[in-house]
Amino acid sequence: MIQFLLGVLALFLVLVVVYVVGKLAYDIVQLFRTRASRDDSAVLWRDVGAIGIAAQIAVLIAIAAVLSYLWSNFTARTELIGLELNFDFLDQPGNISIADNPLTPGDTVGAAITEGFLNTIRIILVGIPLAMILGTLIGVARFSSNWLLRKIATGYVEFFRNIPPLVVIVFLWGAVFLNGFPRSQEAWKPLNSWFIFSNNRFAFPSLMGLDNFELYRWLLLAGLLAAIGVAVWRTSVFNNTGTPHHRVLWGIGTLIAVAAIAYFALGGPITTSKPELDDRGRVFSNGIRMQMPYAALTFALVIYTATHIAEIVRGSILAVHKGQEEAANALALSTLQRYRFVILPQAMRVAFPPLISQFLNFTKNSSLAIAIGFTESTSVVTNLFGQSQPAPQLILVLALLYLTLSLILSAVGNLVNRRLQIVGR
Amino acid sequence: MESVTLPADDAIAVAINEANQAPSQKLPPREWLKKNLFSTTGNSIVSLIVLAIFLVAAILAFRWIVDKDFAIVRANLRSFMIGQFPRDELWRPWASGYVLMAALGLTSGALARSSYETAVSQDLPAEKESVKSLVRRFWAIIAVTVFFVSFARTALPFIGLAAAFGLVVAMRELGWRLPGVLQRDAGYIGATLLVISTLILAGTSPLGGLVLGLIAFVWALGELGRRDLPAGAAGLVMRVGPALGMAVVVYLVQLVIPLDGFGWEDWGGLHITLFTTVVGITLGLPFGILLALGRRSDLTVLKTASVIFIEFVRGVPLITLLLASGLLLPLFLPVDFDRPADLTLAIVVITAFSSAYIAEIVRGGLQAVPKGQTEAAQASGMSAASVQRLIVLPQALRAVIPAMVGQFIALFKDTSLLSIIGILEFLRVSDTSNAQPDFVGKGLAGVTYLFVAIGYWAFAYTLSKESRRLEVKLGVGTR
Amino acid sequence: MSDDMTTINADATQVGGTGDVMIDVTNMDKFFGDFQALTNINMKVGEQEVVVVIGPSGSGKSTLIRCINRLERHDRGSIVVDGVELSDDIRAIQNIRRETGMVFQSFNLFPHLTVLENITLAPRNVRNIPKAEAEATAMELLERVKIPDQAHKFPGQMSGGQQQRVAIARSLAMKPKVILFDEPTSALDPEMIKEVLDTMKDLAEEGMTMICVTHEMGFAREVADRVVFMADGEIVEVGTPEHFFTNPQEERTKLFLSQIL
Repeated sequence: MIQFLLGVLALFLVLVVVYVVGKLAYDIVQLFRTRASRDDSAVLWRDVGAIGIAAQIAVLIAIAAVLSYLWSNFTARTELIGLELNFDFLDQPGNISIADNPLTPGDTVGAAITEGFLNTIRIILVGIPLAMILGTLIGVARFSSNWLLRKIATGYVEFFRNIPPLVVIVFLWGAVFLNGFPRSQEAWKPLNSWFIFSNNRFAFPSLMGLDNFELYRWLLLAGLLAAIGVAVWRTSVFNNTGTPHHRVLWGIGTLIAVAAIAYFALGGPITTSKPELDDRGRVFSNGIRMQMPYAALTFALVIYTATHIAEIVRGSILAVHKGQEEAANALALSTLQRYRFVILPQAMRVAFPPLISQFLNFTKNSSLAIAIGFTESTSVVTNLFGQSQPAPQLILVLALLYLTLSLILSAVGNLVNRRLQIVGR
Repeated sequence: MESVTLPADDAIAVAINEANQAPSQKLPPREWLKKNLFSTTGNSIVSLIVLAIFLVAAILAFRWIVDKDFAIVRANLRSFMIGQFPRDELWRPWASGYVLMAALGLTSGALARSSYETAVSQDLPAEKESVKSLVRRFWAIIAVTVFFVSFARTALPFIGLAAAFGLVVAMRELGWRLPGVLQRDAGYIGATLLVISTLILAGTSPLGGLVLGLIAFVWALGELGRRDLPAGAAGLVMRVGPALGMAVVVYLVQLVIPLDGFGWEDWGGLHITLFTTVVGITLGLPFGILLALGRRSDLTVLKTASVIFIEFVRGVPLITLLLASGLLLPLFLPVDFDRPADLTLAIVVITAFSSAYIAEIVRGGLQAVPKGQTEAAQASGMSAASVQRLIVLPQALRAVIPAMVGQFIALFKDTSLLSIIGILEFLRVSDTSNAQPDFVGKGLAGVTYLFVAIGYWAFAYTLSKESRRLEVKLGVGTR
Repeated sequence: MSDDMTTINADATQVGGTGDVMIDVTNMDKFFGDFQALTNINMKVGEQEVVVVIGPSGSGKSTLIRCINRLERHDRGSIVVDGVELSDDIRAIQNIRRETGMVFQSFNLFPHLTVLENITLAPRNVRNIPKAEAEATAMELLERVKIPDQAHKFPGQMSGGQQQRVAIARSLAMKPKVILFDEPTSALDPEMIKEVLDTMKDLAEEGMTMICVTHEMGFAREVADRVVFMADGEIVEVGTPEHFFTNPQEERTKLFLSQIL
């Protein structure tokens, strides 16, 4: 993967140079063609087009000069310290191991970075949905007619928005999780030890498949399809007769019914997996187990990002013009319908771009894991510095990983946003 | 990666501002409770549940705090404020702080007066701001300062800070009452005081030179936008002259009286946090403006270079760039060049970082200036540079002031990342204190982190309130 | 309210139209905080009657009709629409809103929905009318307001006059018994005012009950059964158009007419 990204980067740079130089050459040709076709052309050094081209050439030369000067310094220095400027180290053993990860010290640098990157993705995939949920709840709570709820939501936003995310992370890690929870030998096991909390790991119950699990999964999939079918059917009934469709309720009901019937028919194909801790309080097994730094990082970023999301949610609902609400009222739409058909679709359009930029911030902030030792991309790379792997190339790779994430997120964002835009003149 | 956030952000900011200004009515307590907490059964249940959760959280927090020993903060208060600054030279931060406060009070007073005069001349409602309303605006910073000082072991810091507050108020009053001629030039006086403040602290070390240059630069930049000076070479001299003159005078003075001081390798704590933020924004501003203009330029080379720089910096976490500042940046220096201090390298990176973000803010402001403005200016025969300098940029920059304050807050919070690369800023003092023999292994990280969090909060909260106030005052984005 | 206030207020309870009362407003007051926006309003509107409300800006005209479908809550007195009294009861409010159409000064079309979706939204979701039927009705209405070819456009792609005609079609789609017009032409360019007024005229001729707040005196003279003049939150004078424009009684009415005619 890393080699592929490096290849893309190289290709991109080549394309940029080709594009810039090519465009410049094209402009020059155009300039002279225009000048030749007109006999009233200004003298060359006062021609507006020529001045622009000259300026561009000057800038291009200046940039090239600066870059080549820096590059000569760079090569001289790296030669002096004996640093090889290639990417062969990616295939060398990395001497890195990551908690809860099959990676062994013998695995390559490239594999270590990939595992770190996957951990970054794990933070994002869990954290962003949680932040969205918390942020939306708080944003909506600020509209509540309940004074207490409103003030607490406001206080939450005003407090956490104004302290650095890094402080939230280290506080949650150093003060709450490390010192607020018992050692795993004396772990807190509430609800008949279905949950285990210690300053080493959190463990929650999860589901585990038994004999007929494979078949059950297929039946669930069928149930999902049936649910979609029922929803479609309800929609068409609504279109044909006008009776309210309630398609979501019908769909969920169908899915639950299928799941329940199949569960009993197959004689209980799944069971709960209860987390366990061995007698010495060291080894966790079963259930969902969460590394402490991972939990601290994810929750802290959720707490922080939710404040920004709450502001976006609140602002975007406020930004829907008041006349829209009045028109919906005048048409006798119910409160639910007013939000469903009029306010939320418009608020979503306003909220979408800033939300994407919050997701980007979340992604970038996940690199703060380095402060509490959760081994994601940035931490793996800094660990590799310690293994005297070449820093310049590693930093390039690291930047490339984040750039890729940012580009994908904002590309998807722009695509969706373009589809969301309200058509106007 | 075309950024599409600005118009929508504006819509949100405007909406929030309008909501915040909605008037509230006063009710007798009984009715108030009924209306706001117990209007319906559902509402009452919500109230009780929220109240219960809130009380439990408050009690837990209270018990946690009462349980803790704050000796660690008492022992390290100085470090939190100024890091490792030589302890026998403490008069320097104090003295420079006083001069800074004087500059702040004087210029803000003069500025308030001149905007008051403008309002009066336009028959707009105008009122001199009372000390009471100042306290209300800056209550968080004042309260947290008092909180911090309460950890001091002697009464001296308290007296010192009370005096500083008094000085600000007095200088503000002075700025308000300055005679008209001086009033307009209060900026010069403020800048001169700023220079003196720097010299006290940093002397004429390279750092002092840098800050001096910065001040002169910002000063000159501000003068460039002045329209009451003639155009042409004479105007240019009158615009840039005072700032240049000040720099020369200071240079000559230090030839006669050598001033010693301490470079930023010796600084630390909250002081370096604030300093880095100010320098990052000030240095980032001109580069940011250039990048924004470059990105909007028709010239392919400029546009491509600006876009690549901006999107690269914005697409990468700051911590990656800071790692690069220590490990990569020095490799680009000539071989015979000594490695600069870590903080110097970090500030280079922070400047690049903030310039990319500022560029996007300024670009938003440039987009908000109606096309008719440029056309009208061009139609009156102004050169392309004059159109930008006198017509477009002043409007664009005015419109983005609140967003710039927002960027200042963001950078202020981001400087906490310097702790990761080993610079002794505000947050890192917390770690070094917990490593001291007296406190190590006692689980006091929570105490120091809380202390630090409150410090960050006071500044960021006050600034974000000020930014919203400015937004209303400037009427940015109002429909 | 003091008694002399009541006597100052002109009585607008003489019903025209078919003689059956559609809207009955009695002793109604409305406050915005401490400011009294409407004082002791008494007004009845008969079935198929067209009442035009005029008056200087800030006189409470818009507030009056916004109270009738509960976009504003009135503080005292009673409002009865088609036999249903307007109270805090959500069902009464929804019933009245269902029977009352409203056309706004700034159109307030839903910008994210096509013209057709704008028109069919409420019939389908409030009146539970099948999709095909709702769309057929919508097309008929668009025909009636003379823009049948715009059905699949978005509001942002149309001119102001067209948008306002869509807004009229949207309120007609609910088959309301009365339509409230809140300065429907004030936000339009001069050349578009006529197309909207023509649509309204057609509606009046078809026997729709209408209350129009407007500055279009020509429309008032031509179409109105009664003209109601309001100032300072009170009904100052009521009369037929001829009486009103040729022989106004009250000083405030004369002053207003002299300023605008």
